[in-house]
Amino acid sequence: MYGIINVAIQDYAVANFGQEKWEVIKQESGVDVDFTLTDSPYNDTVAYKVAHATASEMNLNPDDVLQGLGEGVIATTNIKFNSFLDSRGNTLKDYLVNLPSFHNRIAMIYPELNAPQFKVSHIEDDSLQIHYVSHTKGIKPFIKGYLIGLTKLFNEQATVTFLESVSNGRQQEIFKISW
Amino acid sequence: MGDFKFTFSEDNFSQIFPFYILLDETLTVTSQGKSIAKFYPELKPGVNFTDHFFIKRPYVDAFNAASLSEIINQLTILQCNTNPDIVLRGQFETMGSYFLFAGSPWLFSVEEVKQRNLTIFDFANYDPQLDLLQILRKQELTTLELKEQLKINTDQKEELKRDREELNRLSLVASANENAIVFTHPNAEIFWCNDAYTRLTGYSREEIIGKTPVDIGRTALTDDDALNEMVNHFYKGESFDVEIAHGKKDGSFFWTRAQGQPIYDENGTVVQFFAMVQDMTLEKEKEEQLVLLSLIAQKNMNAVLICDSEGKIEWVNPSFNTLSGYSNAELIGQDPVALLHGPETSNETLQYVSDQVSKGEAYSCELIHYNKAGKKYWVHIQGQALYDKNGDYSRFFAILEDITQRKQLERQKMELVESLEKSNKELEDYAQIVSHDLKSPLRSINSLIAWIKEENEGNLAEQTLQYFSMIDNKLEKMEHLIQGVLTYSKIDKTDIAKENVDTHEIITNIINIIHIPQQITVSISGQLPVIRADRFRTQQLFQNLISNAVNYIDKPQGLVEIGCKEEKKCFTFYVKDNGMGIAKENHEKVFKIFQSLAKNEKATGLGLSIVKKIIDNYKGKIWIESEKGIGTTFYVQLPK
Repeated sequence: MYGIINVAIQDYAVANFGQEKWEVIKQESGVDVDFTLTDSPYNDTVAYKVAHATASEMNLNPDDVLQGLGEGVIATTNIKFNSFLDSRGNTLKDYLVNLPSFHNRIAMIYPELNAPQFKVSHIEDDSLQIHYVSHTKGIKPFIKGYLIGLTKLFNEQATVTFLESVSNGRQQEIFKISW
Repeated sequence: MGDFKFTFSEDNFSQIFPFYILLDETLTVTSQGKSIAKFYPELKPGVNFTDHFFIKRPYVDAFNAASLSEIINQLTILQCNTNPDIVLRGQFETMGSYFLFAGSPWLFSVEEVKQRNLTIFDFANYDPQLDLLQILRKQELTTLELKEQLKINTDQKEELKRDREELNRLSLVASANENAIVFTHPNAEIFWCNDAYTRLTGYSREEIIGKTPVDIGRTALTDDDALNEMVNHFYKGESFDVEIAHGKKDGSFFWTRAQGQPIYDENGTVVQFFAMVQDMTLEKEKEEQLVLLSLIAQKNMNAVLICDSEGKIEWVNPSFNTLSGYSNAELIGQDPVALLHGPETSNETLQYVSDQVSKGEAYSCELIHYNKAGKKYWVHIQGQALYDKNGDYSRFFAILEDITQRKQLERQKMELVESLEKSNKELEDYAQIVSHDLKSPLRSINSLIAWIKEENEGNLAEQTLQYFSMIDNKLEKMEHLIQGVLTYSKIDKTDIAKENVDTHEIITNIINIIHIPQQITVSISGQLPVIRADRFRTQQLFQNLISNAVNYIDKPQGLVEIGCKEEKKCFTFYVKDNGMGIAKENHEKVFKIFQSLAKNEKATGLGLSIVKKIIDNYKGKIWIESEKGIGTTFYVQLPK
């Protein structure tokens, strides 16, 4: 469970750039985790470093890579760890409302995992706001990709818009999802 | 769904939610479940909750009533401000203006229950947490056991892998080994051999498998004692190490060192035998060569000496003992320089030897040694430094030849040569002085006769004039004789300058300048060669020969012919005439000084002596073929 994101990052990189390039990217990123084990704890810096190494190696925009990685996390989770997505709401909205609670439960079960913190606000009929609380700077595109991945997963015509970064207290990246 | 209102007393509510906490709008604790007091005694009614706990999840900007309102009905994690291990998990609900937290401690293990001063009675009956912790514990134990099993499994796998690798390595070592390797059953039947064994023996693997090493290797030359020793050890299940001749398929054999080793099972029974057969042919040859070389050194007539790297004598042969007069006991370990050298030994030569040894180069020199009795003798020494396999200087050897006798002979010869040179010089000086002294009165006599004839012109009788004429002739002959002696004495080895001399040109010149009577024809046959010699001496040589030929012709039509035949290493000239010829007994005599056979007025008896001396100086040869009354041919052979 710890390393679903790690596995997803590897799947994304191999699918898009091939195994050989992935080996180079891994080497370049200097990240020392076993990407095949879901037992290895994940933290945001892994995604950040891998994205930057990928961008440099493939001559891409780092933010685009991060967003791609975020989307890839949902795709991999849906394929390989389907049970984690089940029973978390039938609609995107239910799923998003439950997102903070889900991660809070995860945080309790896996104390070593620095589980992401979400907060939901401004719940309206056709929109809501998701706050991502993190210490890692520059992870915003990753979360955006993650949310876009979810809209695709639920096959809903929803748009994800970045609203603002708030650094009052802890850093928050606020996104608006509208239907 | 009925519109029920649930009413509980505090005790009643505490039974269901023993860890509840009721906060007022200022977040002050107003009531709490019965188990909270045990779990966290500091949390008493009246204390401000935020002084003791904070909301770990979900994220709130600040812990106040407003933010609590936002997280109502959400999973909420409370963590103690001072002890991060004290964690409550539950949810907030509103109750009028109050906030009710319904939840329970978040525990990770059964042990933690006791550690937090809690028992099963502190939890609500419906709360499955303690049962889940038991399940978790059971799961943990199972996981632990599984992990241990996995570790054992992994270790065994690693061990197997190592064993397999070791086996592969050993298999490779056995297969690719340059030495022959065979495995036999306890009954000596070979069941495996490597390529080296087939290569060495010349048998195919099919021919070898199933036979015993004795079947394969025994030849007429196999030493029975060694074979028996090997077989005895084998059947006793003991290891062996023997040197033995091993047969080949083609009937020849090779020398081997056969080392065998039984292989036992866990019960100590021999299950296999392993033998390594090393080809020792080269070693044997070297050994034999070494024996031969040792013998050569030992039996050498010359003295042989071997010194160690420190320069101390390590070994000498008996000839050395004889030459030096010292026994082995007196020689071994000694410094040969100190022992054998003395006042007349050349320090310069010793320095040369030392330099050569230090450079690792061979040396050859002659030195004076002294034997035990102090008697000096000359030795010719040839030596060479020897190096070990690593290229380090290990020792040097020297072969000493006693050259004392040769040295004495050399000295005698040198003295003789010096004495001869002195005599020659004296003789030459003597000839020069005598010639000079003789010429002087001759010239005086010549002048006096001229004056007499001049002063008495017309008064001298015919007879007197004839006498004077005879005196003139004799004077002229005397002059020639003295000149000849002078020429002869001057010819020596020092003037054999070598230049390109065109003999054709020289002989043509001679024919032009000497007096040749009309009835005599002198001709050159073919083209004469260019030789390496001294021009003046070459002219002297041929002029004498041709003049002689011309002078001694007694035929009405005289013929003189000069020619040359080129051979591989020399030129053979000839001067042939049809003169009176020379009797066989005089062929040698004519070359001797002052030996003139003819009664010729001009003959000095020196011409052919001069010719012979010139030819001798060029290491050439002269000989005569002649027939009395028919003619003579002089042959002159000059090396190229």
